[in-house]
Amino acid sequence: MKSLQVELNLARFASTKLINSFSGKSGFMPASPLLLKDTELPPKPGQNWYRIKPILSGICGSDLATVRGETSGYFYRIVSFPFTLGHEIVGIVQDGDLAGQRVVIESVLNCGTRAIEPMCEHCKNGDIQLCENITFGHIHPGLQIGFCKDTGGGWAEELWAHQSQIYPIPEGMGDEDAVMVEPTACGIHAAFSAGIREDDDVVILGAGTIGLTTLAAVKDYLNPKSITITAKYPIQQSAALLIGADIIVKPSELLRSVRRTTNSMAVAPEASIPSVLMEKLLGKGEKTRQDNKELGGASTPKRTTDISPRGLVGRLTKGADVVIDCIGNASSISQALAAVKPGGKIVLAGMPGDVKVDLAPLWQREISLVGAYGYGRELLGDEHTSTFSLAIDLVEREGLGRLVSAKYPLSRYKEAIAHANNAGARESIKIVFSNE
Amino acid sequence: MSPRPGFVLDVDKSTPPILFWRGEELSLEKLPTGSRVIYPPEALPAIKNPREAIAHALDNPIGDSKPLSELLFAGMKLTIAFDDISLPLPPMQSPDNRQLVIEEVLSRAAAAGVDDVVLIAALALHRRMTDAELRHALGDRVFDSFAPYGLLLQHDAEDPENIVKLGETDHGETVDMNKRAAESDLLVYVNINLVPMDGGHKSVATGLASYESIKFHHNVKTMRHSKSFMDMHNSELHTSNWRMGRFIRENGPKIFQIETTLNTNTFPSQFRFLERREWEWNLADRISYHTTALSMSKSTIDMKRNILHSIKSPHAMTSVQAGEVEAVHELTLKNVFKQQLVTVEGQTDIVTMGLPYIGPYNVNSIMNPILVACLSLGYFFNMYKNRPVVRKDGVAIIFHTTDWAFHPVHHPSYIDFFEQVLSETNNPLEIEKNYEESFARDPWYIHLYRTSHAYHGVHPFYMWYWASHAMEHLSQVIIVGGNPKAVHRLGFKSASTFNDAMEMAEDRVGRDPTITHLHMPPLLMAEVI
Repeated sequence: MKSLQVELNLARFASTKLINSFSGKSGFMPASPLLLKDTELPPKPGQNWYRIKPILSGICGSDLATVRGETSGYFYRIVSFPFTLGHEIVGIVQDGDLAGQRVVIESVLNCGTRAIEPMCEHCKNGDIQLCENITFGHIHPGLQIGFCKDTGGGWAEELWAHQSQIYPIPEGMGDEDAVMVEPTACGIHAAFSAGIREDDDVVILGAGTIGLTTLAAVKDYLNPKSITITAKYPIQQSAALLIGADIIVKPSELLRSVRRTTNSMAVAPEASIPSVLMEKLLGKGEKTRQDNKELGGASTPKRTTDISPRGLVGRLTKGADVVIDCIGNASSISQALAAVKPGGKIVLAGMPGDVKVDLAPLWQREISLVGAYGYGRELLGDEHTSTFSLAIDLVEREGLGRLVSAKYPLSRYKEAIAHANNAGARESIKIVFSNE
Repeated sequence: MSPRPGFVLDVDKSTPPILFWRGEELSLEKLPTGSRVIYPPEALPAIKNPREAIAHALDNPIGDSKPLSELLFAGMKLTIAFDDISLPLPPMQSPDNRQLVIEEVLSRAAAAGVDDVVLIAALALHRRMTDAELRHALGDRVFDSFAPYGLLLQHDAEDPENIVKLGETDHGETVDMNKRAAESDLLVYVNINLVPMDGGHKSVATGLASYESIKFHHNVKTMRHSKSFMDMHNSELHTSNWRMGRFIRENGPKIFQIETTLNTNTFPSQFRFLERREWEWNLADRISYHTTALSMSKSTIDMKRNILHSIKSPHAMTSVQAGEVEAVHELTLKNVFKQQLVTVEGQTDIVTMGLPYIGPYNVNSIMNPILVACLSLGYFFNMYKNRPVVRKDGVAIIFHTTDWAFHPVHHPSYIDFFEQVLSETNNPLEIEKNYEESFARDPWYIHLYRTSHAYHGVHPFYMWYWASHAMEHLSQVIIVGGNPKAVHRLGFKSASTFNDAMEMAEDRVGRDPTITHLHMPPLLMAEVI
C-alpha cells in the first residue's frame, strides 16, 4: 500500500531544518524526512484492533513541523520510527464486526490501547491525553496514531485503530465535517483547559485550524464576555467572523485592541538599559510639569516616562483574563504574556518547540502558563463527557467541514505539503489527503 | 499695484499643467480642456504697524465693550486665553499675532496694576503644545515671564477639579469652562482667524470647554446640518456655539475678544511659485518648482516632513478688532472674506484638490489617513458659501500619498480608530453610536492627553464627523497616489493617476463631466452662485 512515512534519517532531518532556517516554510523540501513508500500494513497490534481505510486525513501543524524537521527533540523518545503521519482521520472500518462503518479516530494512544493493566490514574479517569505509559505496553512508543510504527497513520491507504478509538459518525455527516472532528476535539480541550468564566475577556492567538476550532468551542460552550482572535489572512478573518469572534485583529494590532477591550493603560515597549540611561542623560521623559492645580492646568505633576509616553503599546497594565495561544512559537508566547492580565492564564494549544522567551512578566505578574494537548474528557455542567463526543456535536452544529479548503491524493504529497505550509497566504485553512 | 482678486480660470489648450500638492510632494497635472481652476485672491497688504493697530483696537473696542484699559484694575484676576498650535498654518514667522496682541494686553495690565495674570492655551481637546511651540507663539518675553512661574497653562479638559459647569442652554446643551477662566474678572481671548470657522463664541465655548460640553456640537447631526461650517449663518456648529456663548455672556466671566486676520502670503519667497498662477511662472519659478519637486521625491519621508514642517509662513496681519464677541467676529468675517472669497458660477461634477503636508492637527506631526479625510472632505470641501463647489452626488478627486502612518505621541487614539473602528464601519452615525463614548472615556487616552502631547481620545471621531457632510453629499471619493490599503480602509477608492481617477468617476458623473480644481493653499473660500 502507499504510505507517507517519516524515517529516522538524521541527515534528512538536519538538512531540512537547515534549509528551512534559510528559506522559510515556503514549500516542500527535497531532503524532507517524509517519503512516499510502497509498504505493507504493520501486523495487527492485537485483539480489538480494526483495519481502517482512511477517506480523508488532515495535515496538522504538528505534522508540518515534523516534515520541516522543526519538531522538538523532546518527541524523539515518544514516537517510534518509521511512522506514517496522519492523526486527523475519517475512514471506513475494513474488518470485524464494525466492517463498513464510517468512523472518526480518537488518535491518542493510552493505557487502554496499549492493554496496560492496571491503567494509570489519568487513563482511569478518562484523561487519556495525560497517559503515563505512551512508551510502554505491547506497541511501540507513540503518543498518537500517526507517530507510532505499529499503528500506521492516516496518510496511507490503511491503518490500525483500537476499538476504544473508533467513533461512528452520525448519519448525514459529510467526510469534510468528519475529518474536522479530531482538530475540533483539540480546540475544545484547549478551551476547557482555560477555565473560562462568562465575564472573561478571552484572546485566541492564531486563526488556523486549531485557532478556529478553539474559537468555535469557546463561543459555543463557554460564551465569555468577549473573544478576540488574531487572524493574519483574509480567509482566516472571514472564517473567524462566521464562527462568531467578537473582535478580529491582525497580530500587530492585538495589544492595542486588548488594551481597549479591557480598559487598560499601556506601557511602552521594552527599553534597553542604555536607551533608558540615554533618556535620563538627555533629560527626556524626566520632565515634570508644574503643579498647576490652583491655576486651572493639569492637577498633578507627571513624569512622562511612567506610562507609555510615546503612545506605543508594549505591554498592558490590565489585559485579557485568558489567552489561548494556538500558534506556539516564541513570538506568540511573548505576545500572550504581553496581552494577559496579572494573575491571568495562558493556555498553550499550539505545539511549541525549543523557544527563547523572556519569562519576567510571567514571574512578576503571576501568570499561569498551562499546556493543552490532545483531548480526553471535559467537565460540562456537572458531568464529564468525552471531548471527542463533544467535538462530533460541535462540528455538526457549526459545519466546521467548511474549513477544509483542498484535498490531495497521497501521490501529490509534495504539493499538499507546500500548500499546507502556506495555507493562509493561499486563501486556505485545512488541507487534507484523500483516498477517495 | 493692488492685489488681484480671486479668479476662476477656464482651462484651454494653452493652459499649462496645474500645480497639485500631494502631501509632502508636488506634481503638475494637465487638466482637461473646459475644466475650471479656482485661484485664491492675492495677498492683501499687511498692516504697516501691527502694534499700533492692536493698541488702537484695544482702546477703541467695537460692540458693547469698554476699552480694555477701563476693564483692568488692581487686584483683579485676569486670564488671557489664546489659540493653540492648530493656528495659523503653516506656523507664522515671528512675531506671531498672539505675541503682538498679548504683549500689548500685558502692558495695559501692568499699567493698571494687575498682578494676577494667567495665560491659557485654549486647547479644547487638542494636544498640549511643547515649550518650543509655546515660546514661538508667545515670544521669549512673554514665555519667560510666565512659564517658569506656572502662570502659562494649557487648558486641561480632563481635570475635573478645574472645570466648572456654568449651566445649560435652553436647548439643554451643557456649558462648562476652565475654572480659572470662569472665575476671572476678565477673560481676554486672543484669536488668529485663519478661516471663517475660527473665532466668535466658538473660541471660549469650545476652546476652554470639556468633552461634556463640546459633544453637543461636535457630532454627526450638527456637522451634517452645517452647510457649511465655514459659513456661520448656515452652520449648526456655530448656532450651537453661539447659544453657548450667549449663555456664557449671561452666566460666565466678562469676555474681551480680540481677533486678528492674516493675508494669504503663505509660503516664504523660495516657494513663491506655490502662490503664483502657473502661466505666470517665470524661469526662476519653474526652476524652483522642479528643484523642490525633485528633491522632495528623492528624500525620505522623515526628511520631507522635517523640511516642510520647519517652514514658517510670512503671513501678515491684515486686521485686528477687539471688544464684544459678536461685533468683533462680524468684522473679522468681513476681513477674512475680503481676503479669501472667490465668486464661482455654478457647481461642478468633479472637484479636485491637492492636499498639502499640513493641516490644523498635524503641525510638527504626521498627516495620517484620518487627517487626510478631514482636511479634504472636512476643510477643503467646506470652504464654500451658498452651495458646495461640487454638485450633489458628484465626485471628489484628492491628491495625497495617504501613508498608513501615524504619530504615536500625537495621535494614539487615531491608530485605534483606524485599526479597530474603520475596519468595522465607515458610517459616521454607527461610529458615533457604537464607539465614541468608549474612546472619549478611555483612561489611557485621557492620561496621554493630560500628561503627554496626545490629542484627546475622541478627536479622531470629530475628524470623521467633520467629513460627514461631504461623505453624504458626494457619491464617490477617489484618492490619487495614496496607499491603496489605507485608502480602502477609509472607504474611498484608490487611483494611481488622474486619468485612472477620471475613468473611475465615469460611472457616477458620465463621460464628459465638468471639473473644478481648488487651487489651495493659499486658502480660498468659494461663493458658489
